[in-house]
Amino acid sequence: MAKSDRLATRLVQAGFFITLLAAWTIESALHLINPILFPRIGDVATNFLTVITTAATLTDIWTTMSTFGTAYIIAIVLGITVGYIVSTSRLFTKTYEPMLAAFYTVPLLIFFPTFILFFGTGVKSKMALGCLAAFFPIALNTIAGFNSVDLNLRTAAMSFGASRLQMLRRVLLPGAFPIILTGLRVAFIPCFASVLAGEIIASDSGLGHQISQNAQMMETARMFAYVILVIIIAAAFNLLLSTWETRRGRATA
Amino acid sequence: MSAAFRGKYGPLRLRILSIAVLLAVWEIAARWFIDPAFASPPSAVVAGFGHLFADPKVAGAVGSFFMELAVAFAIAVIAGLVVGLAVGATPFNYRSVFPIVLLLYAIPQVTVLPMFILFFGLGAASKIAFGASHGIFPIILNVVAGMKSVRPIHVISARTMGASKMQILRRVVLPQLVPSLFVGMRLAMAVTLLGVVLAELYVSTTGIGYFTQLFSEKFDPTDLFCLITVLAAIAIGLNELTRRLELHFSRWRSD
Repeated sequence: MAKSDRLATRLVQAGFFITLLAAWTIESALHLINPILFPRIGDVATNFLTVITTAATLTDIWTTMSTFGTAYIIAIVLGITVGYIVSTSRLFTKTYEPMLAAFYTVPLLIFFPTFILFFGTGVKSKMALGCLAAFFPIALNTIAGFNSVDLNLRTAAMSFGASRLQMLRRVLLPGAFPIILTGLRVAFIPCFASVLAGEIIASDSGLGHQISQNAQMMETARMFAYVILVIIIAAAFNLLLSTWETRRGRATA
Repeated sequence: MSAAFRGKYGPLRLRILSIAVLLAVWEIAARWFIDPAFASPPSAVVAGFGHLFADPKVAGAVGSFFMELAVAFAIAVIAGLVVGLAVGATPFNYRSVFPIVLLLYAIPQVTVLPMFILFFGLGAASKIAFGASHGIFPIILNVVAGMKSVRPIHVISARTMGASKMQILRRVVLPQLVPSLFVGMRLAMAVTLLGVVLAELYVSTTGIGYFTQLFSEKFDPTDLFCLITVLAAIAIGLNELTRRLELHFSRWRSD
């Protein structure tokens, strides 16, 4: 790629964001759109500063993060357990893997009203939703991972008299590990987004709750501030995942 | 395992048996062990369909859900195709614009749901817009990937034989694009469904969101379970349809 071409590419990208910000600034200065529908850039900036300097924001971040963390961990335990059990026999794999895959394509959010019925509008219903969203990719990748382990290795371990536990610890888990890790990575963002979605639809705390509550009170500038905060958190997650992935790629290469 | 589950139809038999066992456990649990305010047995759910859909308002809510989904999906496919063709048209467009598309795709879209409601109101428009905003990304990504998979040698040989730009697009690029477009459509259907359901549940004054809230507050979840079963069936049906289409349209390509 020529040097001038690379520069032009960067210019187009920078130009896109500069145009966006400039349009927003001009719109704010000229009061073109009702600020309830689209807030002024200055108001959003002041609100963002208020939001990140308020101690209560830490509570909201903690609520969302702990709900997400709990859901993710439960999904890992359930997903790997179910995945392992299904992968232990060819019949189970052939029977249950298509069922899990078919279920995975349903927008799992439609079950959220039943979670509200069972667990109320507190954090538990969001935990259940996040857990459900993360369970399927983890379980499906665990099945694929265990089934990808070389049959010769299994036979060799078995003929040396390995017990079931030894087989799992020494042969199956190390062999399946990369694919299981892929499942964990794939499940990460849907799990986080589901917790947020649950909080936005019905909740009494958390970042998503702040977004929907400020929207209902027509505090659009403050809502924007929370949206920006969530986007920053999500961007940090994405950065973390991609760094991890490139490191892992380098290690296995 | 017993002989009943051997052979070609073994997994199918076991699947049917598993579903039957699951339904039986649910039936017994809901009848005798769980508070009827929280669960209702599958037999009651099946019996409840007729009663629930006799209500023209519920049938109307499901009908408008269908309509919103169809319009959102159509917008996503057409807009995604146009944007994808523009992004993939030249290497320069690809290198400069595609990272911006990926950046926008990384934003958790649910956070801007209240914005859509503010802009487009509580009616069908906001649900269509939000569904389409979900569906457009898989289409763009797959159309761009499809254009990248067009072999330069095919384009060059078409040009050597005197094909015009329009002819190259129609005869070389578009046929190569079809399989990836259908992959994109399958993925887009799943996320468009998600987007429309999100917006429907968020708006609790009309449509499906209104009924799910109403049904979960009246201490008899039969109607709620019925409605969710119908929505899940619609989702499974539409996903299966797009999956079949994808298989059908990618058969000709061997690589």
